[in-house]
Amino acid sequence: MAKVETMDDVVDPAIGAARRERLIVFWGRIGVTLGLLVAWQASGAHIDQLIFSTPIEIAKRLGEWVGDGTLWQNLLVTAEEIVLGYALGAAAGVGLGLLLGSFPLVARIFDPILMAVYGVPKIAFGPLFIVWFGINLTPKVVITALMVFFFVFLSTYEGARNVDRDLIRVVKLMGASRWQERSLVVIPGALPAIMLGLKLAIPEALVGAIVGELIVSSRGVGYLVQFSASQLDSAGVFAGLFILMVLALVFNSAVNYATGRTGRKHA
Amino acid sequence: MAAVVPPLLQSQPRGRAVSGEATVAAGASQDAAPVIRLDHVSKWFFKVGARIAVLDDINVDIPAGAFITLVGPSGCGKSTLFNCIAGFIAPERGAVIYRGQPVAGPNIGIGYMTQKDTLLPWRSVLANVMLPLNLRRLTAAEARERATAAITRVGLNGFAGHMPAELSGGMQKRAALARMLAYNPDTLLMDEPFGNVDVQLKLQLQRELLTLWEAERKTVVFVTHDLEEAIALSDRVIVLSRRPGRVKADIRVELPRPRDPIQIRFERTFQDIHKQLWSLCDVATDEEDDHG
Repeated sequence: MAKVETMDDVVDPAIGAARRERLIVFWGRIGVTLGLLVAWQASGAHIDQLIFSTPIEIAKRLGEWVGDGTLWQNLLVTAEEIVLGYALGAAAGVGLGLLLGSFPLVARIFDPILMAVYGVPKIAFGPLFIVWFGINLTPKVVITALMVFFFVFLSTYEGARNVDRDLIRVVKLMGASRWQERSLVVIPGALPAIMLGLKLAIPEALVGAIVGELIVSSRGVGYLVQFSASQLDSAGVFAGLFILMVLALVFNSAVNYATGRTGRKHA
Repeated sequence: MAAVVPPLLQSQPRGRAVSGEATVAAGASQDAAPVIRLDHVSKWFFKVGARIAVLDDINVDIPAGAFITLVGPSGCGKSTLFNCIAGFIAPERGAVIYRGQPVAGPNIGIGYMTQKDTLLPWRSVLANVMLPLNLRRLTAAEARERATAAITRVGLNGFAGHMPAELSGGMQKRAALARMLAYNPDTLLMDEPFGNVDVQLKLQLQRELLTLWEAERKTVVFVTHDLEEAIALSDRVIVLSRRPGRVKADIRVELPRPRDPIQIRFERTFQDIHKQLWSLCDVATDEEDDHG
């Protein structure tokens, strides 16, 4: 009889290699980040601090902002703009996308108008929105919504249009009404595309809110960056950018989590 | 199962094909009347200004309870004819008469199955089979009961909760069959339903289809490339010519029922018909797969 190796004897060498690789990547990332920060700090003596600041200065500024409430006050304003703008834009995008996706004739009528607006960089609408809606929350929400809208609309529209015609036919023969065709086939069929659009629109929402704040504002993280720059306070500018970075990470992982959950149902 | 025919088709929307109630009565009173009459059906398409005839003056009567197969070379318009019967497209000339009424719009008196998998991928097998029943306003309990019965009938017990993607190709076919049978349509249109499965599975599915058909004697219109499949299953094989499709031959298959689709191949009559069909079909230039 041949000698049979038990499971304990055999360890797939690939497992060990993969683990080693993960460790290298993990420590590599930390090492590179720390290295860059240290280099930045060390070069502080030789470069113009007015322009580049140093990591320690930036950390101090962040500490001040956390201490005196500046951070929360402004973060809240920006977050509100993002959340409201995103919700509005996403709702409009999904709604119009499904509508036009299931009525090709209507889609052809609206196509040139939508594409014309889509072609204009949304930032250019900023001044107009300020004239229309003032300088407070509303224009930032509207510009954010507009940017989010196109991302979500285009992917929803494509998703709805590309739903398998044969599935629709089969359901028709079962006696489904036009509305039932939409709710039973078109919407669930377009769902993966809708999810993708919602996900890709998140960085857009951030851009919309910050750009709105950079144009004109008296509060918000964009305002912090803008104001610090006007004071030639580069530590403040970097601190603001750092906050935005963290904000983007938080939003992205929130949506990754949400879409990951609904995505699994379809797998 | 066949006895349970509640007034399912009553709730159908206005302006659509024919009522199931009326049809049963009509079928009973005038026995000889065909379920489907293809009355001088011609169909053409325009392509870069040129008119391309697809179907040319098709005249066929399909009696109730018959199993009819359409065969023919690629592009002969089998699928087009099929879609005319289903009511997805209208013929340019002539008419498709379904139970005495011209078909105008999706013909919801029929069940439909194609080579392509048309189960909704986001619904479980049970939810897929229940779908046509829900659309016919059966109560949830009733729908569940009938769907479960249909699933059992095609041998998918224990798989009701599975998603289509979790099933093998053959099981997906069975699930589609169960969905079609669950709402008890009186006519089945099957467009190469077993076109993309391996030979053993194909024979098995053919056998199951025949068993189900012999139990209920629904009218079946079956499209295939496979001449042996055509003979083994049907009462009549209608051979269409190369485009534009005309009825080239209408061959009666005088083989005893019930049939076993494997054993029947070795019958003398089968082989004679097979030979005859091969001579009719211009196979030399025949291609695979068409959906024209």
